Amino acid sequence: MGMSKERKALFKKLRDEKYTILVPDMCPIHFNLLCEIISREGYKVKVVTPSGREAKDEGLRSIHNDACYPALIVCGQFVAELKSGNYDLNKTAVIMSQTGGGCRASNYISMFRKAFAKEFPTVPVLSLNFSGLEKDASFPMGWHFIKNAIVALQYGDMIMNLYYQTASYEERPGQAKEIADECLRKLREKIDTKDFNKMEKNMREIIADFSVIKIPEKRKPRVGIVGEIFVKYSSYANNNLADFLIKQGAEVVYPGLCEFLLYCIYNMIQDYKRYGKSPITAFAAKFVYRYFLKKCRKTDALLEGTQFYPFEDFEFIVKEGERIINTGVKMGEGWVIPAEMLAFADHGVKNVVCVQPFGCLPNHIVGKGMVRPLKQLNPELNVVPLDFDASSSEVNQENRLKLMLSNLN
Amino acid sequence: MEKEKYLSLGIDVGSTTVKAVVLDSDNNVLYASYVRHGSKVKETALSQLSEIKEKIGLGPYKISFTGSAGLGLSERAHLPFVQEVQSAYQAIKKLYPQADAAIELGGEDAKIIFITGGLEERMNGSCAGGTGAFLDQMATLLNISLPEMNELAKHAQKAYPIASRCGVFAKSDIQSILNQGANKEDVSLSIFHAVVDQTIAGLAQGREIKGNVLFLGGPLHFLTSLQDAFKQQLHLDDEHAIFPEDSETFMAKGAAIYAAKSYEDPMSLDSIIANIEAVSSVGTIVTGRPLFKDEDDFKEHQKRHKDFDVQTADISTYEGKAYLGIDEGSTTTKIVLLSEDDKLLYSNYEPNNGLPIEKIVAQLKHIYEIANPKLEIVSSAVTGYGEELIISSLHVDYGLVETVAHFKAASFFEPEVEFILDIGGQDIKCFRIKNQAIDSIMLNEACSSGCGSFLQTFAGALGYDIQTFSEIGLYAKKPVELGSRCTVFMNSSVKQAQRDGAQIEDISAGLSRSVVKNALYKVIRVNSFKELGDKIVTQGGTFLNNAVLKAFEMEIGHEVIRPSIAGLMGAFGAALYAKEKGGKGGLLKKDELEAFTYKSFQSVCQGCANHCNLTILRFPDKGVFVSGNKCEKGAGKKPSSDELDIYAFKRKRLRELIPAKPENSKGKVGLPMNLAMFEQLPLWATFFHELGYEVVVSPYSTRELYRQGQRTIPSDTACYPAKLMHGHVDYLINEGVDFIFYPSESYNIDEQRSQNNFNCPVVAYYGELIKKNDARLNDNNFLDPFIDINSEKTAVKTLSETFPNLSKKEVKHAFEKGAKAMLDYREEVKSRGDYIIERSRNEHKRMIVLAGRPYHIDPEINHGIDKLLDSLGVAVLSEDCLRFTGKPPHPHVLNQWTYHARLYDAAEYISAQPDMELVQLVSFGCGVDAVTTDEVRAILEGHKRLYTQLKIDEISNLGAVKIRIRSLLAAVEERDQKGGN
Repeated sequence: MGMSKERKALFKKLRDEKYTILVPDMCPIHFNLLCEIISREGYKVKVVTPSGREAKDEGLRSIHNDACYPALIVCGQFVAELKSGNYDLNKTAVIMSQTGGGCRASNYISMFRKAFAKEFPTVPVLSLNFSGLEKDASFPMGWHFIKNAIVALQYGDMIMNLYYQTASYEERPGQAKEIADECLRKLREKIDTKDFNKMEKNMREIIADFSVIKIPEKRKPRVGIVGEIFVKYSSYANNNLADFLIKQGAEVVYPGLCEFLLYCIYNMIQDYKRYGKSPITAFAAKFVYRYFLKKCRKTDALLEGTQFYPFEDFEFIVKEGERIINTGVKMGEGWVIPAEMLAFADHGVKNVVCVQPFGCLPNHIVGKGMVRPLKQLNPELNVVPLDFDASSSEVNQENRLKLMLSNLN
Repeated sequence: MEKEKYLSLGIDVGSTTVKAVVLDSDNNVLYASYVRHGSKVKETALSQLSEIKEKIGLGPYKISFTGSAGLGLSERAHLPFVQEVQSAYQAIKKLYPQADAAIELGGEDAKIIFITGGLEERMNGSCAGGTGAFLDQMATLLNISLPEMNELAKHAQKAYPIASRCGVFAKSDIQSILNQGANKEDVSLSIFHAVVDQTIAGLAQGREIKGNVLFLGGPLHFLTSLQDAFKQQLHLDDEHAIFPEDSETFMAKGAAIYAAKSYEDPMSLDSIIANIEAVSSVGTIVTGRPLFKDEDDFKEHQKRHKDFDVQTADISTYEGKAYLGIDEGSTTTKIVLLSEDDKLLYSNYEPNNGLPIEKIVAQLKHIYEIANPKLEIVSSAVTGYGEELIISSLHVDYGLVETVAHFKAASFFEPEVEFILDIGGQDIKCFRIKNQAIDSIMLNEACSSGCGSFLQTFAGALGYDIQTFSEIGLYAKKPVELGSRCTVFMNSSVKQAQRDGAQIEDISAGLSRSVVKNALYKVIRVNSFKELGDKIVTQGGTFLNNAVLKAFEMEIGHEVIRPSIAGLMGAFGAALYAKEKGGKGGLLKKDELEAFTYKSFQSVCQGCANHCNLTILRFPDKGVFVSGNKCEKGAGKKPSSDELDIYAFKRKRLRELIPAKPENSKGKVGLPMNLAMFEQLPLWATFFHELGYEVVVSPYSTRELYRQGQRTIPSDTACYPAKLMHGHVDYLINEGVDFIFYPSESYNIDEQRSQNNFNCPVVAYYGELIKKNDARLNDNNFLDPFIDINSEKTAVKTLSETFPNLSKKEVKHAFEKGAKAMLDYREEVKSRGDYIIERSRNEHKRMIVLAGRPYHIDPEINHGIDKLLDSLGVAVLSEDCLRFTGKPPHPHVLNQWTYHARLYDAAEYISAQPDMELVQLVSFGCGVDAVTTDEVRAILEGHKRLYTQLKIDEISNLGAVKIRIRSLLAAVEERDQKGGN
């Protein structure tokens, strides 16, 4: 990959001068490993862990309030962190991902730069993307890095999956979390060694570790969480939605992060198929898609015969998607949201919370807009669309969740 | 174990009331109560329990809580809880087994339960919140009680359409109807209709409400006019509309029924009471710093602001010239009378209660009565919403734009003022002043409307007057964090704080802070408080509230000036203006006032398809005042020609491009005239015409068309243009088309001016949504193929697959013809732009680029803003008629949407044209415009040009738009004069 001079210089500086690169708090499990991998490339990274109202308030202060909630919250996290006094502002940067799709999310980076311009002019805003955006500030990724990152995400998915399947059945509070932490610790140690890539072995260890917690034959009602990616995963953004549901006596089911990546790659291929766009990208995408899908399937197969459910197969998700919406709907989380809900319903997860930032554009179509057809295809589906916003009240949300919970299937 | 004997107890803790019901084993009611809790949830519940103890005894009871505030209380008291919709359902099954559906309106939530034909329970989303609270706010607005509103509605002649998206919006609509002089009877009825609309659109979402319908909750119990409105709109007769006698305690009863069935052990009342008493009031409430440490701190603060008191003179002894200023605001009337040496002779501030003329006449009579006979009002001026009304009725000498009035007044107190913030009842206005001229103006959008009056309504709901309510908060130790998005959201945050046991003083202080934050972060959009400058004047009635004032100073970390007449600044400025201008002495004299009367008529304008509801006032001097009209035509004036209005041109041209019906039509295709079709109509109309189809195009939107499709809208927070789509589709179905065509286009036209050429998700995929949400549509009669019109090859391929009966060659030919027709149309628009620019320059007319999207030309989407500009003597251009070939501006954002790239180009272009200004039209809820507005503003301000944004939605409030445009024009004029041109 050819790199611009500016980009080379910037990233060399970040490494050489030991900049701290701040990462937003989204999927703590995945990001824990991912950061470790980035740090092996010579960078110092740190995942931000916001609490209280501070990050939300800073977000409201620094970003157009009609911008979507994830942008506001991520920016707020960064600003709060930078203001904390714990960092040398001449040696700190922030990074975030960019999909380059038609929703506003691709503009977060620019919004942050504007928000930082006055107060933190020395803090670079970096992008992690595969779309060739931000030529001078996008994180350089070699194939080795990408491969490692994919492995890390798969481990992350496995740990997350088993964590949520066991968290509702712990023998003592905090048990599942301890196991997850221990799995992460072991994996982190292996990153520099060849052992890190011995996926089957490592996966089996994770499965064995979580098998300590026995899941009863008759499970608790399972509640799926789908929706906009940041709000879906970030417990800070969604007011600890998963914990709330677990406390209310449900088992939480999350789609994996790998599924979202496959969705992004799938869309690149579709752009070529449908509109003849960027054949070279599509060719590469096809290759990565097949490679990635195969790896995901291999991992999921390891769960056969255990007490655990695997994730939905991505091609099944695509099929489900085609039943309800045109898979050309590709902005934001696009067609994958109703597809996930339908796949859930077909496999016994009849309760779903569909989270979205207040006023999220794609979600008008793929979230709230698909509730009616979903119910037609699967009348038992118990779905509650839930808006999140820096100003929305928790009691309002909890009350709606309670209604969903009182109809658990 | 032997079955234990017990009673069952249900307690419903809502946002405003606590209801308790005791049932025996046969569901006979032994006790029922309904008490307002005034935020003291725990105490109110306990007092009811001790009454039960006294009257019914110790039990044991099986108990269950329900209701939004019951959730927190029961959790902390470790007592059972059942969600309120569930408890309603329990009670319905037991008591009204014949019900097919139930609608419950509570203080904050609206719920619907479909029982037969598939059980479904729904609650309103976050936005539509506040039905009971909404009615309370409306009643306050009209200055009547709810029972009075109920009575008035019975005598109504007609109902006005009122936005039903949310309470804040409806309020703005009502406000402007009131300002036009509509009577309270009709407004009351309209309010009830809006509630019904909101329920049908927001809750039922396409599912029909029929059969036996049960109506529950306080408002539906007490308000018979609301009952009638529901019956009428849902076509229910008395037999099918069921209004239970005890509907206000229905949920509590449901909770009791639920408790009786539960497996929980019965408890003695003493242990229930003990559990509740043990609940500490400190929940997980997020709080901020206190406003004032103590009384000394407060006194010190008061003293500092005392310096900005205005001097007074005695009206009964003053002899000589006097100057009258009137500020006729949306909810209040303000009057100031000044002496020759700027002393305050008389002032008054009061709600106009929707009767502005009467208020002022009474005030003037009063002034004439108490004034020294040698006092002479030589000059008068009026500003505000009611400017024209007051000029035509009372012959006030001058009218001036609010912004100018406020600037005049602020300069009086601080000649070097840099920033003015005015928070009134409905509006928030801020101006930045540079070089003694208004440099930029920011006014609130619908969403931050009503903050000032919100405080007042809220105080009222808790049983306080505003003065007392805000004083309570002055020394609050822990002001609650209540958010700042809008008043509806704040309302539900208050509910949460109550649930968590927050004290009333902390809520009061928290609300004051929220109002301030809303102004700072939503309206002013500050990045750094330094931008505000050092010399800041705060004014408006809301700033008289010391809690708000201090909260503002704390938030920005800077002291400000708040004159003692903060609430009268508009009128004060008007009086100063009247003095400056000399006078015409036109104001009605004492005897003329005595004889003054007027008559009010309602009428529907037949001037054009808009059919505006007109209110016509006739005055004794044969003068006439018309309101409600969207253009000059309605006011009986000669309509200006559309010559210099590109919006009008496009509207006319697009209709002309609809091909005639072919002789042997292959079928009827329907094209919805909405969203992308506003630009691509020539393409698709030609395409289908070439293929031998008859092309039916839906008309431009109207409010009626919107209502026609309203019931199938799944997401009520989508933008208004999107929601109108449902009406267009409904129209086409009724026209009997064979199929409707609206292509899904992820990519818009690639004009090579941006990094990517996306459509926004709504424009791109709304077809998918509508196909799945209107029961009459399916894959055969609604075609929305996924097409990239830039790629003829793939587009033709996809279209051939969509129409397998046509040959690929035919399709290709038709597509090419269509593409050419679209290009021709685009060129035509640009030529027209050239023409308008040239003529305007010859005639020395100012031009405004009304920059939005192609679909903003729809008269219902822009509510006639282009005509308004026209009537103000301005030529109207659009973002897509400019020939800008220079380098695209280098926006700081990712420039990736076609329509939006045009906005950046337009901003860059006009910056080099001194006779052009740019006004950006933004549809409410447009997420993409959260990105573009800041950017367009940055481009313009980078070139030292003014930025004006108009947010438009379902509501039409042309009055506010007019003020903004006039402010802009006044500022531009001032700039040009100062610039020495």
